[in-house]
Amino acid sequence: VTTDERVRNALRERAAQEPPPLDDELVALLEHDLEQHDRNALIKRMMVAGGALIIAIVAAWQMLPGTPSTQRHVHVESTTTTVVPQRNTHAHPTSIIATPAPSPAALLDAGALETHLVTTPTVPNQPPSSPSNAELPGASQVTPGTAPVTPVTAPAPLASNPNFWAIAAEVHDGQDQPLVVVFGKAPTNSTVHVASSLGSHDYSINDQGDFRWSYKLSHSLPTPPVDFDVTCDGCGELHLQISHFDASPAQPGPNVGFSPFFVSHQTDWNPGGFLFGGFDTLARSNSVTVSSKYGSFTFAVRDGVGARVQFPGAPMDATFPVSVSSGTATPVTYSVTRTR
Amino acid sequence: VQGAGASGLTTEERRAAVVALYREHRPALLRYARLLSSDDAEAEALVRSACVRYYASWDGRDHDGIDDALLAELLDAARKRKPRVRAEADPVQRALARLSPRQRETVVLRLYGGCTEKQISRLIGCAIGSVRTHWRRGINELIGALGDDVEAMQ
Repeated sequence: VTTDERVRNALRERAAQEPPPLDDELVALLEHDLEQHDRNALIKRMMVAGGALIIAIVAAWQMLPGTPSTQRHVHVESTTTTVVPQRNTHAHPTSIIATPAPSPAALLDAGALETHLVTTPTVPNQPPSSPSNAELPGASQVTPGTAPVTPVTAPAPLASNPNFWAIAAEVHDGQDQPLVVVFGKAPTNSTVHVASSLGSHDYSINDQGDFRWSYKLSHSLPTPPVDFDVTCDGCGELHLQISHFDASPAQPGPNVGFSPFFVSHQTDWNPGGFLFGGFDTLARSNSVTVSSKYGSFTFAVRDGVGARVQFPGAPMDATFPVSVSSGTATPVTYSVTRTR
Repeated sequence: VQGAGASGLTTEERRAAVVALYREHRPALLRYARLLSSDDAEAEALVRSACVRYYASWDGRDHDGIDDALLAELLDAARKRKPRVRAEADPVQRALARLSPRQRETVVLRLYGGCTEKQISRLIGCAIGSVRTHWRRGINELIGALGDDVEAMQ
């Protein structure tokens, strides 16, 4: 008999002693332990929820006008002049190079999807030209201000592959820090894959159809150009590029807390349109207003996702100012040219 | 706490299922627990603790390897307790108490449970190389601690 065998036999002998029979008291002890575990887990969840609630209340409190953290913004706004800044460098235009030609079925679907993707100018005192224009979430007529508004008749919107689009741009967040965003819309229940040298991510598209990927440039400044491949299963692939980065914070000004962006003419849309949007991190308003002499309109903005805007009333090759504003922020004016 | 979880079982049903597992697996778990603890009362507490830990991580679905899952929880629970050595403890108990937790688990699983190195590696969450080290050091320490008692064993 080896030493190992002797030790093994000793262990077995100790373990094999007849255990005391299982009685109701032992079972009751286990049931008590299980109940205690559930109580502790519930208390832990409540504490986590309570902590999150407190953080939310504190954050909301700090965003109220007059609280110390927002005094800087209030002060700046109160001394704002009426001069409209010409800030076209807030977002760097990108390009959408190619999308697959839409199938006839996709074109048939385009009418329904236009309600979420296309904003056509609404003219004061004139009803929308098509039901889809009036159904834009959050859309409303906006007083054009002092600029005269030229009545236009909006043609029926037509877009190539309107159910899948994406934008890549450099914008500034509510703390004026630069970040790269890739966002857009895709059909509900599809999967979108955003890939670049800055990272990649998969998105399951929700009922709203939105997806958004962001990258803070304060972490590290990428070497331009940066290419983005945005792939949607079953609906196409987009190639975007940002060719220039500006890591410096935005200049403090009257638009602190609201970072509008504008993306130039989209080559795959016919007739041509423009993309406007903004990040209103102070939550003064959940809408963005776009105004020009060819029409003014307001659209709901969520998570910085903007809307495509057409100016069918503008003459071809005409260059005209377009003002973008949110809440009480001073509008930012962009100079745009209709080329399609 | 009521309500159905991902498995569709209510909390009461999940509790009842774990109590049934306790009734079924208690004898086997208790044998391991006796080698990993200082007395029978602590062994009973270890088995209950293993069942509660299993309940906490169980998704309510049936799956294979419940025996191993419960045993792994028992080892985890025992690892967090330092075995007390009583004056009336037998030589084996005193010798086991001198081992580190991982050495004790490896020795018990191999000598008593008859587990392979791969099984031990999975149960205690160590690489196979570490299991071999725990075994070599653990068995030497155990035999050394038993001393002349080894010769008296049959």
